[in-house]
Amino acid sequence: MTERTNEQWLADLRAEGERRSSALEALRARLERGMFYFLRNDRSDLLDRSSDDLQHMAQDFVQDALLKVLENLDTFRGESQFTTWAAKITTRLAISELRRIRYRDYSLEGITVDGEIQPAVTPLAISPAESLSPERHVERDSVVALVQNALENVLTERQRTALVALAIEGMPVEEIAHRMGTNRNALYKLVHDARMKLKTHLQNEGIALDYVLGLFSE
Amino acid sequence: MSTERDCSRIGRIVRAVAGTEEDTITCDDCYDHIDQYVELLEAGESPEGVLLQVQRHLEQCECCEYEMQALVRMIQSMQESDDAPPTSGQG
Repeated sequence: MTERTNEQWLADLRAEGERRSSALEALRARLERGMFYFLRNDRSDLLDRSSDDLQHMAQDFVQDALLKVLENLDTFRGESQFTTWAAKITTRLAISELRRIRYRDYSLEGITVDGEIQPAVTPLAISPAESLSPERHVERDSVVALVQNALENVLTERQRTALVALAIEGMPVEEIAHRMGTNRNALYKLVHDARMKLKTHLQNEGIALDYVLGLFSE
Repeated sequence: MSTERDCSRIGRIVRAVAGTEEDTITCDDCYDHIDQYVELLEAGESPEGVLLQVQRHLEQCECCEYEMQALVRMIQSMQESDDAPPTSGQG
C-alpha cells in the first residue's frame, strides 16, 4: 500500500465521490485500529469489556473524531504527518469522553482539605508512621500542620478547591474546570498559580522541599 | 498529632508543589503542538523552542502528559497494524 503524503490526504478528503470516500475509509480503518489497541491495552477501567464492546467504542470515538478532522482540515499546518494529527484529535476526544463517564458522579461541593469528594478514592499508600524515627515523625507532623495552614490561609477558596481536587483526589483538570464553570486552560493556570504560591510560601518558611519530600515517601 | 490520612493527603500536595516550576504555555498550546512533539520523540530527537516548552508543560500537567502517552501508543499501534488486516468491517 502506498502511503499518502499530507498533501494527498488533504486533496483526497476535499475531493468528491469515490476519491473522498476511499481516503475517508482508509483513515477510519487506521484510526479505529489504533484506538482499539489503546482501549484494549492501556485502559485498566475497560478490562472487563469484551473485544466487541471495545471495537464498538473505538468505532464511535473515531466516527465523532472524523467529523472534527473534516471540519478542521484548514487548520492542519503540516507540522506532523496527517495521520498523527488525526490521531491527536481522536485521542483527545476519546479521553475526554472516558473522563466524563468516569467522573460523572463526582461533585466538588463541600470539598475541603480534610474532606473528600464522593465516592472516595483509594488514598495513596505512604509510609506508615512507625517506619519514621520519632524525630522525623515530629518533623512530618509539623510540615502537615504548616501545609494545612497554608492551604487554608494562603490560597483563595477557588485555588484550594481546585488544588485539592487535582492533587489529592486525582481528578482530571478538564473535569474540575467543568464543575467550576471555567475552561481547562484557566483551571490549569489557577492550580499552577496555587502551586507556585504554596511553594514560595513554604520556602519562605524555611522549608527545604527536597528534604520534606523524604518525610512522605520513606 | 497528624493521622495517616492527613499525611497521605498532605503528602500529595507537597509532591505537587515541590515539582512546580514556571510554565509558559497552556494546555491548548500544548495540544496544538503535541503531534509534532511525539513525532520528534519517536525519531529520538531532542525538543527545542516551543517543543521544549511543551516538554516542560507535560512535566507538570498530568492530563496533557496522559494524552501525550495515549497518542504515542495509538500511533505506534497504527504503524504496527498498517500491514495487518482490519479488525472489523469498515464503513
